[in-house]
Amino acid sequence: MMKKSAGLVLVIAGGLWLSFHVIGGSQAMAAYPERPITLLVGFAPGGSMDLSARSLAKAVEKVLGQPVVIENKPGGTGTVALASLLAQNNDGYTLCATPSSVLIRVPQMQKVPFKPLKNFRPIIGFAEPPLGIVVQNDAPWKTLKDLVADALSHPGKIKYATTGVGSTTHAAVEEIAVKEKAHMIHVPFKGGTEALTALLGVHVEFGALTSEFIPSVKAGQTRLLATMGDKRSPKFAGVPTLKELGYDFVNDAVFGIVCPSGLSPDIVKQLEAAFAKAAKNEQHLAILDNLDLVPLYYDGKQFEDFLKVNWKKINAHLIATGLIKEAATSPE
Amino acid sequence: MDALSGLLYGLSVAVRPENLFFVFVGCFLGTLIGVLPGIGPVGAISILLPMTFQLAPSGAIIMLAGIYYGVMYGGSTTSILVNVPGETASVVTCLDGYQMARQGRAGPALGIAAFGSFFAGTIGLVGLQIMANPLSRIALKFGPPEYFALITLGFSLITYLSYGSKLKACVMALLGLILSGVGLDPITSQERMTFGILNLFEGIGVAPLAMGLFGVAEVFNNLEALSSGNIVKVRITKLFPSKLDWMQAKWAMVRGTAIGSLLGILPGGGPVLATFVAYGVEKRVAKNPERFGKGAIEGVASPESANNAAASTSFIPFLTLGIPPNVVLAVLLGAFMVHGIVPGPLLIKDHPDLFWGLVGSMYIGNVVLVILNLPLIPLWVQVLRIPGKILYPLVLLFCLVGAFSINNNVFDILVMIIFGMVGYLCRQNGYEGAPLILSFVLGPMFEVNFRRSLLMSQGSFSIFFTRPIALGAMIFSLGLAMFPIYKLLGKRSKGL
Repeated sequence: MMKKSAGLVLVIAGGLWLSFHVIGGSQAMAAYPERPITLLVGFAPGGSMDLSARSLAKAVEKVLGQPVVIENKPGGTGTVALASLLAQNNDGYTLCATPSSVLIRVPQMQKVPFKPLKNFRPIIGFAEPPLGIVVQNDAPWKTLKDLVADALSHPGKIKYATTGVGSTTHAAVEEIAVKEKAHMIHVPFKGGTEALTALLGVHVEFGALTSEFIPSVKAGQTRLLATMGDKRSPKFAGVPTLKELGYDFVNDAVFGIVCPSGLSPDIVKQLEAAFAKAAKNEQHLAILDNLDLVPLYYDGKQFEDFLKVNWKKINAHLIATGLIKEAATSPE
Repeated sequence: MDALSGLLYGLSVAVRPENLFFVFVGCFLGTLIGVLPGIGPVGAISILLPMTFQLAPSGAIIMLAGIYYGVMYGGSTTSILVNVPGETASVVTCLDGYQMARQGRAGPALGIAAFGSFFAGTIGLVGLQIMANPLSRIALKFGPPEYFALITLGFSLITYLSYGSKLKACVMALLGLILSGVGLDPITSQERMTFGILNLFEGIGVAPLAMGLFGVAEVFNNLEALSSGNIVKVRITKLFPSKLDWMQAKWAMVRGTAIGSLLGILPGGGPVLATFVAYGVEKRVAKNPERFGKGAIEGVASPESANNAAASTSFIPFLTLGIPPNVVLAVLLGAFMVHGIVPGPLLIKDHPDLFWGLVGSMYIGNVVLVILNLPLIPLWVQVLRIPGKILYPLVLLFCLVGAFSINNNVFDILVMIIFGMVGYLCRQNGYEGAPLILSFVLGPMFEVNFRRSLLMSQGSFSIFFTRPIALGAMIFSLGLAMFPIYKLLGKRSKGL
C-alpha cells in the first residue's frame, strides 16, 4: 500500500511538473498518457489471451502510471476487436491485444474489413500459447497415429472441435487431414472453453485446442496426443510435436499488442518501452506460468517481421493444401 | 470429507475475519452493481480482478463470487421501482414487479424478491453441496443438438410472456430473432445486416436494447401522462408482504428454485433463460393467468428465485469440471488460474479449504444479502414519492450513464434511445417488449447450435430426434405448441 500511494504521489507530481513546464504547443502529447488506456481483447474473458493480456496490462499500468482497462470484444475469430480498434480515435488510448493468427491466418481464409499488415503497428509480442490435440481419457486412441488410422478406415466418423474456422487449431487438423486424405468433420466453437466442454461431453471425438486443455490433461480427464510447438513442451516432455510426427505444421500464434498504424511515433516509442519493461515483471511471468503460457519477447519491429514472414508461409501452405485459392483479404 | 463435515469446515474457513470481510465487500458491491443499470457483473469482476492478484486466493475468490450472486439480489430493485432492468436476468421481473409498484405494492414486491432470492440461493447451494458430481455429468450430456432442442422449448414458451395478443407477441419474437442476427456470422465471420457499420459487427448489445425497450419507453410513456396531467397518484399501502402475498408466492418460489437450479448447471443456459422459463411455467400453471402482467406477485417471486438458484448451481460445472457455464464465471475461472489454482475434478482434493470455504462463504453471503437488502426496502420505496417530473428525467439520466458505461461507447446510447422510441410506439399499439428480448437472447444460441448440430450430422436432421435428451425436449415443445390448438378444437366440437 505504501509503495502504491508513493507511486501515485510521484505520478501526480510528475504530471503537475509536466503541465507546468510544457505549456503550449505539444501539451497533450507530453502528458501522454493522461487518462486510462483501453486494451481491446478479441476473445471472451477467462481465456488465455484475455488472462495474459490482463496480467500484462496490470504490469504496464505501473510503468505508465495510468489504468489500463480491458475491454472484451469477442467474435469473428478475434477480428471484431481489431476492426473496432480502427474505428476508435488513433490517439494511443485504445490498443488491441491479439494472437498473431488473427492478423495473418484468419484474414487469408475470410474477408475482413481491414488490411492486416498495413493498418496495424505491432508494439510487442509477449507469449506463446501451447496448442494440442486431445482426446477423452477413456478413448481407444493412444497415439495420433491410432486416431488417423481410425479416421481413414471410417470416413466421416471422427468429429473434432476447434476454436473457430480459420483458427490455428483448425489449420493444424486440416494439415493432417489433407496429408492423410482423411475425411473428418469439423465443428467450430467460440473459444477453447466451449470446445473443451464439447470434448468432455463426448460430442466430438477429439479437440484441437488452445491452452484451456492443460488442466483437464493434468486432472486425467483427457489425454494429450500431440503438441504443435516447434519443440516439445517442457510440461509434457513425453508428448511428440506434429512436426516430429511428419506434419508440416508449427504453431504460428504469438500473443501480442498492436495499435493502429499512423499513431504518433513518440507515443509508439513510449508504449514499446513501457511494454518491454512490463513483460519482465515477475508477477506477470509467474501468472504466465500458471496459465501454462510460454513467455517470449519480440519488440515492435521483430513482431512486424514475424507477421510478414509468416503471412507468406501460411499463404503458401494454405494454397498448397487446397484450403484457399488466394488470400481472402489483401495484406496491404 | 462428506458434505456435512465439509460444510462445517467450509464455514470455519469462511468466518475467519478476513474472509467475512471479503464476503461482505463482495455482497455489497454486487448489490450496488445490480441496482445500477448497465454496469453488469462481468465488467465489475473484470475490473476488480487485477486488484486481487496480491490477495490470498480464498479471499479474492470469495469476494468475486459474492459480486456474482449479489448482483442477482440487486438487479430486481430498479426493475420493480422504475421498469429499468438492472441486469438481463431481471428483465422478466419488470413485467409484474413494476405493475405492483404502480399499485403501491413496491414494498411487498421487493420483499418477495429478496426473500425468494435468499430461499432459492440457499436451496441451490444445498444442491451444489450434495449433488455436485452427478449433476455435472448431466450438464456434459448437453451438446449442440440438446441445446438446440432446449432453446426450441424456450421459444415455445414465448407467448406466455405476453398478456395481450398472442399474434403480436409472435411478431415481436420474430423481430427479436431478426435483430439477434445482426453482426458477424458466428461460424464463418461474414458480415450480416451490418450496413458496414463497425459498431454493429458485434451485434446489438442486449443491455442497451433492454434498457431502451423497458426503461426509456416507460419514461416516454410517463412524459405523455405528465404533460396531459393524467397522472396516477401512487399510494404506498404497505412495506412488507402480507400473509396473502406469502400464500400466493410460496409455490412460485419453489417452482422458480427448481427450474433455476436445473437450468443453472447447463453451460450457456444460465440465469437469464431460467427467469424466462420460470415465468412462463408460472403463468401456465396459474389458476387465473390473466392476473399476470398486472401485478401478480408470483410473477416476481418465480423469476427472482430462479435467477438466484441458477447463480448457485452454475458453480457446479465450474467447480467440479473446470467449465465456466457463463461469462461471469469465465472471469472467475481467470481469478482461480492467475493464482495457480485450477477448478476441476482435483479441486476438492487439492484445495479443500478453497472449495468448502467458497461454499461456506456463499451460505453466509446469502444471509448477508438479505440483511443488506431488507432495511433498504423502505428507503427504495421512497423513490416512488419523488414527483414524476423529477423522477423520470433522473431515470433517463441513469439509463444514459448506464448504457454508456457498458463499453464506453456512445453507440450504445444511440441504440438505447432508438429502442426506447421503438418500445414506446410498440406499447402504444399493444406490442410487448418481453418476447422480443427473449428471442433476442436465445437467437444466437439457437442459430449456432443448430448449425453445429448439422455440421456434426453432416446435414441430417435426424440428429435432433435420435438423442434422448434432444428428443424429449422436442416432443415437449411440440406438445406445448399443439396444446392451444387441441383446446380450440375441443371447444369447437363441443359447440357443435
